[in-house]
Amino acid sequence: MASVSPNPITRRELLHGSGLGFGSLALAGLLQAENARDGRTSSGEESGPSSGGPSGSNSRPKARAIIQLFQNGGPSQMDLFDPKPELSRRHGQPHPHGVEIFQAENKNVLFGSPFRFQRRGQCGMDMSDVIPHLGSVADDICMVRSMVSESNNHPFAINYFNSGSVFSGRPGLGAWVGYALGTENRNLPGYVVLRDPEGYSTNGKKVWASGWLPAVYQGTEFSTSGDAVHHLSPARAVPARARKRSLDLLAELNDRHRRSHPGEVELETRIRNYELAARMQVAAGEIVDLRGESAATRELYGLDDPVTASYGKRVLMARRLVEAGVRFVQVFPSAKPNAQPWDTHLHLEDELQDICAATDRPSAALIHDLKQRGLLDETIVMWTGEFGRLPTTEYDDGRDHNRNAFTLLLAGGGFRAGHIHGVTDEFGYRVTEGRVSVHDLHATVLHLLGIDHEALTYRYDGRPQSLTDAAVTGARVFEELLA
Amino acid sequence: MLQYSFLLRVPNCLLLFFVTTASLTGSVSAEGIGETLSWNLREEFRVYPELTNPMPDAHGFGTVWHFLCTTGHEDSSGGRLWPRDGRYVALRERQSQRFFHPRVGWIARSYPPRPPAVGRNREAEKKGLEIAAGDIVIEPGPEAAVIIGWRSPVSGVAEIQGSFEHVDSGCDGRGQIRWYVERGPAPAPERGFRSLTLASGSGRYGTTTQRGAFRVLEQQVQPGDFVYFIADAVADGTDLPHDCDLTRFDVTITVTEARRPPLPGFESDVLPILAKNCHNCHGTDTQNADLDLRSEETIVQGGQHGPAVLPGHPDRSVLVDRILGDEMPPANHAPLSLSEKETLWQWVRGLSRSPQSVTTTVPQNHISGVEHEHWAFQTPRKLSVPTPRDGQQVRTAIDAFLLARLEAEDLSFSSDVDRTSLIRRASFDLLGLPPRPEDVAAFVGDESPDAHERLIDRLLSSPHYGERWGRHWLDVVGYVDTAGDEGSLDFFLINEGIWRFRDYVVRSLNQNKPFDVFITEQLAGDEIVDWKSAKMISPEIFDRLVATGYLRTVEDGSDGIQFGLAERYKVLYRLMDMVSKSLLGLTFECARCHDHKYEPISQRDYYRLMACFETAYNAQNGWIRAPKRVLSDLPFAEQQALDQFNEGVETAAQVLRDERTRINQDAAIQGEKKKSLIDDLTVKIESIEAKKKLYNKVQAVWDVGPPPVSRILRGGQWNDPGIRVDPGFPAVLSSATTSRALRPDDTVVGSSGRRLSLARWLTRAEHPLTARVIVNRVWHHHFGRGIVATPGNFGRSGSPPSHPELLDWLARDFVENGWNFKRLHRLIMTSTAYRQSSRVSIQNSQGQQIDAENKLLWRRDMRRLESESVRDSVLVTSGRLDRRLGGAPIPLTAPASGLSTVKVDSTRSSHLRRSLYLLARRNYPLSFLETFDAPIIAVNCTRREPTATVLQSLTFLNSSFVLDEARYLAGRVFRRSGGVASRQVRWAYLLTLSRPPAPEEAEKCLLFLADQTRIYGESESPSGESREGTLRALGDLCHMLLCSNEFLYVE
Repeated sequence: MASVSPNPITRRELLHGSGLGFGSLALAGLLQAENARDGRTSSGEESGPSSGGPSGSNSRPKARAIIQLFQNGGPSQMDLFDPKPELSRRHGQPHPHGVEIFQAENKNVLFGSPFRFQRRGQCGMDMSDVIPHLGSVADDICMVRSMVSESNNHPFAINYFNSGSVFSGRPGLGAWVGYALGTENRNLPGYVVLRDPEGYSTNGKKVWASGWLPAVYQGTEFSTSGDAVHHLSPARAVPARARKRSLDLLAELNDRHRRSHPGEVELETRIRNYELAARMQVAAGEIVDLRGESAATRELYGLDDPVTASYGKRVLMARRLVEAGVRFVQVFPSAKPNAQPWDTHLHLEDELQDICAATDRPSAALIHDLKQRGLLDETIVMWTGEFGRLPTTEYDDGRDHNRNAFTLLLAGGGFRAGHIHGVTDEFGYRVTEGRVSVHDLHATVLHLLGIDHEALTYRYDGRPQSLTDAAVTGARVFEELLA
Repeated sequence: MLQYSFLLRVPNCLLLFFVTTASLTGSVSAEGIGETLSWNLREEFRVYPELTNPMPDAHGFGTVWHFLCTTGHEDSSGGRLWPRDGRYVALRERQSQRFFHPRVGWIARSYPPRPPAVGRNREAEKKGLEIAAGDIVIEPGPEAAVIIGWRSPVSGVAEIQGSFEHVDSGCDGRGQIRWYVERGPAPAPERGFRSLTLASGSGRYGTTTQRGAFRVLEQQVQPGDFVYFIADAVADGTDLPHDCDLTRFDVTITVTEARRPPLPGFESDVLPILAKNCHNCHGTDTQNADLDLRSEETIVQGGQHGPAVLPGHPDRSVLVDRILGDEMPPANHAPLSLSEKETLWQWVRGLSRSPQSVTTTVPQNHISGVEHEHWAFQTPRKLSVPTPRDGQQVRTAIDAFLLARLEAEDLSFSSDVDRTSLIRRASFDLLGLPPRPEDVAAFVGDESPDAHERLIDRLLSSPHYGERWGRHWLDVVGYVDTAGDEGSLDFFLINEGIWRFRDYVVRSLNQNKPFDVFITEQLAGDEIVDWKSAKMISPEIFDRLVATGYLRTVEDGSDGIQFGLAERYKVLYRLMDMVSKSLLGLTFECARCHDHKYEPISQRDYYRLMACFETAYNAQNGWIRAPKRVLSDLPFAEQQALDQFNEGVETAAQVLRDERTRINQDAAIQGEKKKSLIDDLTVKIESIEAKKKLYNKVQAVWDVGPPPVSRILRGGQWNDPGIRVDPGFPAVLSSATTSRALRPDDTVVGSSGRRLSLARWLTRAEHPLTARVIVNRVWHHHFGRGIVATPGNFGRSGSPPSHPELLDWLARDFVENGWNFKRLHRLIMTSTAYRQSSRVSIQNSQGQQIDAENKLLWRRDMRRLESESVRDSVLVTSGRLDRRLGGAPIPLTAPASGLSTVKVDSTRSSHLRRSLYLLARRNYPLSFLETFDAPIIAVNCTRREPTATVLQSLTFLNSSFVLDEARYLAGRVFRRSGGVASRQVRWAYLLTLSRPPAPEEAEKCLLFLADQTRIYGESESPSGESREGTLRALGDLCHMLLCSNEFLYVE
């Protein structure tokens, strides 16, 4: 059971200060720093903000929100973003050194991309013909070709990409951002997840769980139709007057109870939560309601094309959520029939065409739309998978997992536009220059949000924990990627 | 580069059998001088984990056999031009088993496996040719040739005789090898050398060249000379060199007139090597790891990892192990040369074993005095109970400790809470359920002096007690019903029969099983009853096997075909995490990769403790895949027979299934014919499958395979083993005499007793942690906060105890009275401290000033119900809770929306069972429970973090579960009170909040009923009155009472 502390200002109050976690607990940590002894919070509890808090908050934040388009399954870098003429030239020949494989069906035979590349934009960024729309926003993109992962197995690599550890149980980037910054909108959560309504992608809810950070920082699933959030409206219709009368009674009962228990902060929080529930019903309802969007916008996101409509709607909602003040929005592609749609082990050419057809237009639309609304400067867009693919053949026409190199796209929020970072070997198997670890990426994203990754800590298991664990991982802010 | 005195080049030869003789220009020693020594690879090859590279021989030399491969040949398309260039490197990794290959040895890359490889078959294997158990098999890879090197440790005249035999028909019969026997100096990976070919040939399975034998005579050798045996894969012109060229290899080398080099002296031979390579870190100025390598005495004495050498035993000496494995000097220094390594080896071998020097070298742990003095590492003290000034308030010894502390701050206990709140508090605490109105009335009216004591006894004897406190233990264990990582929302596997463990926990607590027995059964139930040879599995035996389910709750992903040893070790790591947090209250996780930074726990401690589990979770010898790690209520032999029978059935069914698939895909068969064929087969398959003989499965552990040798795994990497460790317990918690896991005499035959030894160590009366940790957990659940606020961390980084003397007293008292849970509950719950009011008033307001967080317990904390109690209470209130105990888990729905519900079985009320019995999922708990902070189980949960989120409010307001139950509650209220509104209000209060309404509340509620009835009436009938409207109004009242804070919080 929970204990309720009557202390006028406690960690718990801030924790419960809102049912949506708009209070920044990390900033609360700052307030407590004066009382803390020994690197422990004055409450001496097992968990809580460490005394440091984000005291090292660096200068002024460039970005205030992130939209992560999580293309899970392992997008193939040499077919999308990282052209390898040598791979095509030596198509059919053996890979000279052999590669690290995941599945047994691999052949050590080089597999040139079936797609053609073109230089896009003023910057001349190479992109494959299969993603023409992303190509059209190349000048806004910072392409990192030198990402590496620690695992070539989906579940572990997804854990790793989001939380920095292959083991599950640690909070991911979204939870850390919410913990650090809270939300700007008191009626909406700080971290919202938009997944395929047909099902969950690989790792499911684990991806947005808050680990040992308080549960208010976990991702909240928003549905793209009906109730945006579970139980937002009553399971059975009630006349509005009756509903109001009931809530009035509840307020009276709770108020009497609270008065007989002076100082119990959590009781007050709950009373406020019932009021918040009503406001959230309105706020969340507005997010889902796309009727106000223009025909041009619908067209831009492909909402009227059955191929792009489902993902397009989620991406558009992501923009609306960020506009409304949400800090971190995580968008997934389709989860049915394949919970990892970019996982092109066989029939790569066909499968990539399918998934690109569903995602290319909306993904590019988001960057375009944010820009024309003047929001791109303060919003980070991150297009990424959990790892890349091999230059060799699996079965007859597919590629296996590759943790030694993958490409991700960044846009807005202070990232350097029209820029390509990092180099892979002649076949795209391994990073040869400018290696960026997931921890480096996390450090850089936090930096743009105005957070010092080394100072953002939370005490758990008897020690200050951080997302990047820089002392061990050597994570650093990648200045090269910044505008 | 060539330092040889013989110059004749022997021509390559492709004969099946041939002999060559190298001419000698040196003088042949006179007969009779020296001895004759011989070496045979097959006999000397030592299997894992003694496997080292280089490998010592049977004569006591240290660096004789080398397992190598070529480097730097990138032109692999047409076969290798000259792989014998001396640029050889060691196949360094120790690999216990290649997938699908029953052999142990080294492989160039283990994950995924990729030859070159050298190994020895553990058991016979049928390839193209039969490979016998014990045979040495080598395999060149597509990128590099495989090499076995023999380094002569002596001088003399050698005769070399052996064979290569291509045994595999893999690669569609296109595989073939070339082999060579060569002489040269030690491997030179950087600059290489040209070697002298003594013999060569090619081999191809199924042809006359299948076996190539060689015999080389009269080779004069000096210590340090090498003979290399090389096998290389050959491209067949259409494809790469293959990785399927399994080749049996053996060689015997006989040296006549052998002279051993003199034993090295420490001052003359060893010290210069150490000075050059080691003293920088282990010498005058610095002594890393407290190791001083400047004298024989200090070396033997050793450092943090124990003695650096064991005199006479180079193979068991850390110093030698590290240097031979090139772990030392560290990576940025040049490794020692082979002759230097051999010198060290021979020096250790020649050291006389001095009894004193051995007995005085108990491994030191790098634990400072300060760390050792940490309170939690001391045996709990027996303290006298203090006598506070206000003796009136002392009901139990607990009160004396607490009050003495409060009085030091000029504080005191708050007054007793009212009877109604007390029975509600006690019921939720012990049963997780609210009291019945009748019980409340009886207790409130009971004026006997022992009314409270009898209430506690009555609650403790309820079967729901075990459900409530079992749930607490299951949190600590990380119990779930699903298997592996649970897969996805709608596709997952059940860990069949694990629910019997859940019921065992409930039953044990209801029986008041002593805690020492309870954890002994869970750690080692299989080691205390002879179940393997039992003719019948009695309930006692069954219970103990079920108990070991404790060790089966962690995620086990080792079943996947792609996942080898890495996954097995992950299971062990998770197990360590769960066990250390649940029983020791310490975080061990950090020590997996390096010595713990915050706690005095070394990596050695971690792997010694892990070794206690490695006979059951035997990653090296006989790992059982999770689905097969089951026992049953049948005698073991009978179960195995059934398994065998079922496998036969399965095979038969699979044949038909394959046939069905074939027909399904056959384009030539169409329409009705296809359908009838498939239907026919389906019927047949089902009837065959029905023949399977099912039995009750128990998820259990037991010792399997020969005990592995445990090693520290550097950086937590399973494929980077370091020094050996014996099973044992953390140094900071034990003395030299108690730190080893020795097999208890009463261990059942055929088991290692390691886990039983751990259980015995944990349940020693003087153990510093076991009793403190569990007593603190019980306290935590009664008061909302432990005496140590971090129940899973009693270490230096944990929270210090608020009342250290009380904790010690409770721990001692608990142990001295037979680890008795119910006695402990009684002790706590009859105390004044427990019976206090939780309200802050004028009387106790100074507590608010001095101790706002209430650490000193000057009042009770108000507490929110835990998720299971929220749901269960709603069902009790509506009168619909199905109180049956135990059994298989109740399934949940898994809709794509993610909003799961309990599956409704229209014939039974199982969907109304207590939350404990609902399917326990790792990542997708029932949505309702998850909203109220039911944990997602990565490993386990030592403390739930309650939150107050808006999603909880929405769930109470709008979910169909709460709305439905509110309606049932309204019906129940109506039946008890008829149409009288005031009675309705009274009963609604009694059923939801266990108390009658205050007059002011009754007034508000009556007004509400009238208003609401009118509102509904107006929307339905013009008259403004209807029976339906009355019922709906009552439903709304009940609903709002369920939504109220008072329902959710316990005073």
